[in-house]
Amino acid sequence: MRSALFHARLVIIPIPMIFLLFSLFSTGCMDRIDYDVDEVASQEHLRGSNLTVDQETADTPADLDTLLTNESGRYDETFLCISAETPVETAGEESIESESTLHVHDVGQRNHGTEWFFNQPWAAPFIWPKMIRDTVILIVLAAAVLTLSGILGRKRG
Amino acid sequence: MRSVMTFALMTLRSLLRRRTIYGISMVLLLALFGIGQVPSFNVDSEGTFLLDFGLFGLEIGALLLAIGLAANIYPRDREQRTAMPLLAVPLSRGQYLMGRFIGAALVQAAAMLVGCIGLMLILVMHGHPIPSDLFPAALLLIVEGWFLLAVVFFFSFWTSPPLNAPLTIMLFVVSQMTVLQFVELFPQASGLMRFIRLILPHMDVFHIKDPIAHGMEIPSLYFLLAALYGLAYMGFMLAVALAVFRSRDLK
Repeated sequence: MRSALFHARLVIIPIPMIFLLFSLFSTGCMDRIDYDVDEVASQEHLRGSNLTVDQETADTPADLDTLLTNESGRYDETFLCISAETPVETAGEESIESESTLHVHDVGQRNHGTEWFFNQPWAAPFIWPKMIRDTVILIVLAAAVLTLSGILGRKRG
Repeated sequence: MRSVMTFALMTLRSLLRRRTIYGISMVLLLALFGIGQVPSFNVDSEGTFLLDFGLFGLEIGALLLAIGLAANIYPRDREQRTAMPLLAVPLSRGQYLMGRFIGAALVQAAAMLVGCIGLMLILVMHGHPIPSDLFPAALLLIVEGWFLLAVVFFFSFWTSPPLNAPLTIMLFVVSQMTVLQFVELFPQASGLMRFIRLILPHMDVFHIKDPIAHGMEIPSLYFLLAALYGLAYMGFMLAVALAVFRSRDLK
């Protein structure tokens, strides 16, 4: 009789939990609790290209050189964006067509070409609190699982 | 605690006697050496390429090592019946799991450090500077390896070794997906898919090879948060593994 009650409890307890989960799904509040940067980021984070510098606005060739060079002093093609619509001559050649949409970004500047790069967790400080939240939840869950399995193990033994 | 450490050292010695660890480490070092041999044609971004592929290789190495080290430990103990006398008197099931895990984790950490030193040597041989963030990156790779080790232990308590490897690899692949990518696998049940993705680990927090390869600075706080997240997930996986192990009948 006692064993039957024990097994019945193992079946009955998860039912309200499953019901609660389905309630969560139906209210749609699951949408924002995970941390996919594409979903939770503000528009400024995803499309913060207001610091874009067009080739025409760079005062001197030296300015353009500085903008294209990263901290290690090398040209960094990551931050050089060339529109596919306008043909632009190869990077090795000096002349660039005046009507071209070649534009450069500051190192670290988010734009349409480097979104994938800056949508990683290390570059999105607004999701770090969610990482802390998950860390705490995981520790609590681990403690709960350990306690429950210990209690069940003692009962079984 | 002393019995756990003694058992962990026993595990360490038994793992070092196996050929698996040396085989995987050799493959890893050969892969790194091969990456270093790719002709650069004097392209400036050779260092970026070396770092990017090198760190990717080390991540895959961590996965292979975790499977190679831990997938067989418990099934072998059970098959050879060495688990029963151990669990009958000196060790509880929790102590058995912790001893085995710590032993394997030490081997995994040592292998990852050797891999990172190999990558540094290749960078130096090609005349590239060693990024300062490579050391914290190595730490994150070790934490990722430990998490994968905990996953392999969890699967080893309720599946056979041939099934353990594909399940771990599948979890590794799925955990790299963003929420949107994961939901697209089965868009008809987006709510359920979102819930499953929420439970699954976010292994993208360990991805720092891109900023390191491109010479960008990563805040040190991030390394701490990512390491804590990895350790918390590892603890959770070990707790679930122990719960499964406690429910197993060894007879």
